[in-house]
Amino acid sequence: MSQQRVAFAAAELPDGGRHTITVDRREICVFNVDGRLFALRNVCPHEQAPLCFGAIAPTNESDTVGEYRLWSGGPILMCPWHRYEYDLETGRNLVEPDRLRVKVYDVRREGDEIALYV
Amino acid sequence: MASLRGKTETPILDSDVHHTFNGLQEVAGYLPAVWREYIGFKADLSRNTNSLYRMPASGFISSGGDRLDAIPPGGGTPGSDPEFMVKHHLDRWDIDFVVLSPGTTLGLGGIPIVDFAAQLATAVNQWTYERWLPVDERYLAAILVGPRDPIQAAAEIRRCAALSPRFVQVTMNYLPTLMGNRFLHPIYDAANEVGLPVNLHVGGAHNGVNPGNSGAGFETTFYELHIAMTIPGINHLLSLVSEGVFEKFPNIRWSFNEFGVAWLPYLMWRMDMEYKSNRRDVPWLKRLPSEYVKQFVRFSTQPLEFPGEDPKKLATLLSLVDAQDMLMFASDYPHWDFDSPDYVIKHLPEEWRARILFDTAREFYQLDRRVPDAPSLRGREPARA
Repeated sequence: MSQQRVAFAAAELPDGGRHTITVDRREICVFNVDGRLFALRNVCPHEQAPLCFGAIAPTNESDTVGEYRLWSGGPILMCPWHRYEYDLETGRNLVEPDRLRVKVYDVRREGDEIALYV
Repeated sequence: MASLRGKTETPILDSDVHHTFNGLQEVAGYLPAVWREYIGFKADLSRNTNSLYRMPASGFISSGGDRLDAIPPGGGTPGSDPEFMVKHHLDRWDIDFVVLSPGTTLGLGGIPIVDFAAQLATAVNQWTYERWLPVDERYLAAILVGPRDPIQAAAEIRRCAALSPRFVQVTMNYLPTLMGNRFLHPIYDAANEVGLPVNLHVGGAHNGVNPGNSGAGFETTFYELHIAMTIPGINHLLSLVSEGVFEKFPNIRWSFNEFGVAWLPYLMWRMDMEYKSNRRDVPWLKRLPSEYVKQFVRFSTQPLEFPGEDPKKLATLLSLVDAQDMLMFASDYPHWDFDSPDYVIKHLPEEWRARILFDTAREFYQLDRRVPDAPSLRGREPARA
């Protein structure tokens, strides 16, 4: 299946920024987290909240009951409505990775543009 | 006498029976001299340890907690005569095992003098071992501990576990904190080490040293209290889950006596729902909270909240969370709100009966390991969950 290339000016997405574009009525949110780019569907599978308003929030993990440690994996997006946590890289929810999954897209910097393949 | 159970030929384990004594003097011989003298001066203690920690302003009058027909022929407190209990309860209902929990001293967890509470727990456990267990092999017993001093409680668990395999669980109530709190973990360390279940019995959140059932004010009548006292069960179970106790102490199975069960769908669903939002607060949980409850926790049947207009609705509700696999029959003999085995199974689906009356408890208390020669275990495979 052929992929459609959609691009916008890289200046629209500085470090720490986010940019939402619409492709064939699908809203896609692109995040720049310390220079790393992530793109995912702008809809939380739980209650369809707009994920583009979510925080890239620090979260926790633990190997030992009673001990907290900062999350050691990739950046986590927290849905603005019920704080559901999604791995930006995979779109998978941290609690129910198989049942709650946001569509992610291939995104990269190409010259002065951010290119999205949908 | 006609019995619904006859159709299923299912043995019965009664997971909540209260034995007691006629006055603390009966266990005084097991106490060090200093505490023997102490109870000698406390005339109020003759029947009930409650007077040690009840606030003077307590407005709750329970009108006595016992079945009047359970008074032994020679007089005295219901539940105080081991030979009579055999005839009046075990033989009457053809019960194969009962788990004895000390009735009037369960509340010693509320005694602020923790050293007295610990010695009293030891005295009661020793009295149970010497006075009750030899009377009938169907008697099993709980190890009573005072949760206000977890270090002494842990020592008592290890002592009793070494004494007899018929001590089949640890029991406590009047907890000074929510049940998952780390303050209590020395108790769980010991239970985890010896592989015994931990039981929480209803009661005590409202008494003297504790802050009340509701946290929003005190009840005014016994009617109100007797319902409200089940609510802390929700708080304690929630605390066990969120503090990661099931992950930290995987050898312990847990039981809740007399807290009711109709609230289980609420708590299990709400815990799962909230976990998806606030996982980062409890990152040590590796599964949905409800899955821990299903694996590790069991609930006594007495009292079941059968709705008057159609008792069968309760089974419909419970089936929503597969609670039929989490229930263990309990009569609460000799208390006034006793349930018979026939009454409990009457309104529950027939296919639940074997597990609720016996098989779930058989696994929970590890009877095949603890009392392998018991007649009711021979040649009988447990019904599948």
